[in-house]
Amino acid sequence: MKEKLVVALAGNPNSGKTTIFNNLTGARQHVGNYPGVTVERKEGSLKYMGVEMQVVDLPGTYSLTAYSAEEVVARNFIIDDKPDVVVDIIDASNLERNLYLAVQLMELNVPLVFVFNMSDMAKARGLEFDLKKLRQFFGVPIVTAVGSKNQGMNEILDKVIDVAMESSPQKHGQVDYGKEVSGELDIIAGMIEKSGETRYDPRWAALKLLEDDKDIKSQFLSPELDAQLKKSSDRIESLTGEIPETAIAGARYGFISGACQEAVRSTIEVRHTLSDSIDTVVANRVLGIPIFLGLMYLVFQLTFTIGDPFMGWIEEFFGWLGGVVDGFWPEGSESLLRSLLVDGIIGGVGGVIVFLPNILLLFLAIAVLEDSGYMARVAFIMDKLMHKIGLHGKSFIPLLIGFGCSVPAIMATRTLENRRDRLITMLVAPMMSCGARLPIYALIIPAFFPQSLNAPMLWIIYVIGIVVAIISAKALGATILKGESVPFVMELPPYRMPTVKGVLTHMWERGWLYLKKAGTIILGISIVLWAMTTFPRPSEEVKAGFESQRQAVEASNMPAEEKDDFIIDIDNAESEQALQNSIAGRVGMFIEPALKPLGFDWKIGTALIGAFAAKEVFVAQMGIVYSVGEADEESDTLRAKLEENYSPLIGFCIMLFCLLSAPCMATFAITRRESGSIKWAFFQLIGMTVIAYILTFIVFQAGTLLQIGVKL
Amino acid sequence: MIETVIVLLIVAAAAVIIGRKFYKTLSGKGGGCGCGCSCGKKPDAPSCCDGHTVKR
Repeated sequence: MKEKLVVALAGNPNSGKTTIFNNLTGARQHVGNYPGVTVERKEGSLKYMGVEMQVVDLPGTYSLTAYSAEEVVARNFIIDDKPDVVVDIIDASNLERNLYLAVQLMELNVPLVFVFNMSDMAKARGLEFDLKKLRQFFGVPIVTAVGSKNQGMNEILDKVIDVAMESSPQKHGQVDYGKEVSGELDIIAGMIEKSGETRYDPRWAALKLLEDDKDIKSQFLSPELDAQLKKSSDRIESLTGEIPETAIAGARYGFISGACQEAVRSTIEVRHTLSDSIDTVVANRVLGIPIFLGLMYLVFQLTFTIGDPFMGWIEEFFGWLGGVVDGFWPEGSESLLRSLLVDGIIGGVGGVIVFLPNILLLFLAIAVLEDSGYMARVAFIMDKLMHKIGLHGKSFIPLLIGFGCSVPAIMATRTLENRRDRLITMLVAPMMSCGARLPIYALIIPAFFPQSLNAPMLWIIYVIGIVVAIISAKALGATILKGESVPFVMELPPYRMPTVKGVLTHMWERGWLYLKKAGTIILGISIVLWAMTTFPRPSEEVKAGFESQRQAVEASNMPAEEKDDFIIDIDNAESEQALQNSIAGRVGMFIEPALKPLGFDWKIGTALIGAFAAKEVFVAQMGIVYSVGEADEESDTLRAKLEENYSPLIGFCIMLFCLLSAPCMATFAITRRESGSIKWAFFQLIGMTVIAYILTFIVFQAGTLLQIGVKL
Repeated sequence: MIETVIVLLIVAAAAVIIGRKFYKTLSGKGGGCGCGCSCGKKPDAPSCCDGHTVKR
C-alpha cells in the first residue's frame, strides 16, 4: 500500500459530501442545504490507524457526462489523478437518483466505496436496505453513515483502507445495455483501442462518445471514428427508437431499479412527508414570495434589535481606547503619531469592527435558512419569475450566496451549464447586498431613521438589490446576451434541522473573516487614507492666521462661554481647511461637481473611492475624515457626526449608491477570472456604477423636489 | 522629529503592502487566490471565501 492514500469524495449535489469531508479532515468548509455549494475540489489530510490520507472533496455532480464545469472537474480528477479510492457519498433517502452517478463510477473501473449517507432520514422514511444483496449487485463495499451526526466515519475509513489494500481490482456489476447498444459499443471501443489511446478505458470512452459528450468528442477527432459514431447512433436509433443517450440512460436506470426492487424495502407508506407539508405553504405559488420577504424582514429586525447593545459596547470600548491613547500626549498636542493612532487606526479600523455583532447575527440567520433547506425553496419559488427574465431558478442560487459575499457567488455560477446564463448571473450577482455593505447600512440607518424604521429601511435596500439585479438580468438577456436558457428541473432537498455546531461555525467563519479583513487590508488602507487626509500639512502662515484669530478672541471682552464657542469655531475652521488642503481633500474637491447632483460632498466622494478596495472602507474613511476634520470632540460617535452634517435623504442615497455602484476589487478580479475576460469585469464595473448613478440621481432629485427627508 | 519619522515609515510600509496587494489582485499574478484576501494561495487555488485547502 502507498505511504499516503489519495481518497476522492464524489456524489450528487447536496448528498452531504462536504459534511463528511469536514468530519474526516477536521476542516470547516462551507456546507449548505442546497445543491452547488462545492464548485471546486478541496483537499484536506488525516491520519487514521497509522495510514496517512489525502481527502479530496469533489464538486457534486449528477453524472460524469460533461454538461457543466463541475462535472468536468470531478471526472478529470478521477481519470487523471487516479485516486487510490473513490468514495461515492449517496443520499440514502433518494437512493435511485443517487445511484445513477454510482453506476457511472463503476463503469470507470475505479476502486470504490459507497457510503449511504443520511441513513437516519432514509429510515425515517421507512426505507430498509439489504446491504448484502446490494454489495453483490454492485460489487462495491457499502457503509451506512449519518454525516450530520458524525456517525459512521471510522467505518468509512476502515473500508477505504480495506479497498486500498486489495491486491486484485474490484469486480463491479455490469449494466446490460442490450444487444443493440453493446454491439456498437464494442465496435467503437475496438477502434479507440487501436488508436493507441491510453488516458481512458476504451469501453468507457465509447459510452461517452455515444452519449454525445462534447469534451470526450473533442479529444477523438478522426474522420473514421466520426463516421462510425454516426453509423452506430443511427443504427441504435432505428433499432430502439431512442437516441443512444436516452437508451444508455434507460439501461442504467433499469439496472438501478432492478437492484432496488430486490434489495430496498419500504416499510411504511409515506405519501406526505413533513417536507411536503411545509412546502405546501412555503413553496406555494401565491404565498412563497411574501413569506420569503417576510422572513428577510425578520432577519433584519433581529440584526438590529439584538445587535445594537453589543455594538454600543464595542463603540464605547473604542471610545475609551482612543481616550487612553490620546492621554499619552499633552492636551492640544499636534503630534502626528497621536493623530495616526487615534484618528487613523482607532477611528478607521475601530469604526469597522463596531459592526461585528450585526455581521454575526446576519450570518447566523442566513446559516439557519441555508442549512434547513429553505434557501433551496427560495430558488424554487423564484423559478417562475426567473423564467420570465430568460433565466431559471438555478441562477438564483448564486444570487442568494451573494448575500454573503459576491466572490463565492460568482464562483457558484459554475453550476450553470449555459455560458449565457452564467455570464448574466455573474454580472448581476454583485447587486445583491453582500455582508461587507452591511456596516455601511448599520452606520447610516440608525443615524438618520427612527428605531422603528431600522429594519424596514434595511429590508428596502436588500429588496432594491434583488429587483435591480432581476431587471438588469432581463435587460442583458434581451440585448447583448440574447439566447435561450437551458431547461432544468429544480431539486428540492428535504428540510433538515440545522445543527448548532454547523450554524455557529458558519457564523464564526464569517465573523473571523471580517475581523481578519479589518486587521489586515482595512488597517493598511486606513493608514494610507489617514496620510491622504493629513498631508500636506497647512503652511505656517495659515496656522499663524488662525492663531491670531484665537488670540483676538481671547483678548476681547466677551463672556467666557461665548469665547469658548468662538474658539471651537476657529478650531473647526482650521481643521476643515487643513482637510481640504490634504491629498484626499483635493481629490474629493476635484470629483465633487460630479457627485453634487447625487447630494454627496467631497468627503463622501473620497470614501466612495476607498470603498472600491473593500466596501467596509467607506465606514473607515468616514471615521477618519470626521476624526481628523473636527476639533470638536463633543459629538463623540460617527453616527452623531453624520446626523449633524447630512439629511436622511442623503443617507438613503449613500446606501443606494453603495449597494449598486462598482463592486469591490476582489469581485472585479473574480469576475475577470471566471468570465475569462477583463472586458466583462470592466463592463460590470462601469455598468453598475452608471446604474447606481442614474438611480441615486433620480432618488435625490425627486426627494429634494418633493421635500422628502431633506431636513437635517 | 522621531515621531514624524516613525509615522512616515508606517505610512510607507502600509502603502507598499496595499499597493502590492492591489497589483496582485487586479493583475491576477502572484500570490492572491483572487478573492482579495492575503492568503498567499496560487491564483488557481480555491478562493478562501469559499474555503481553502485545509490540513488537519
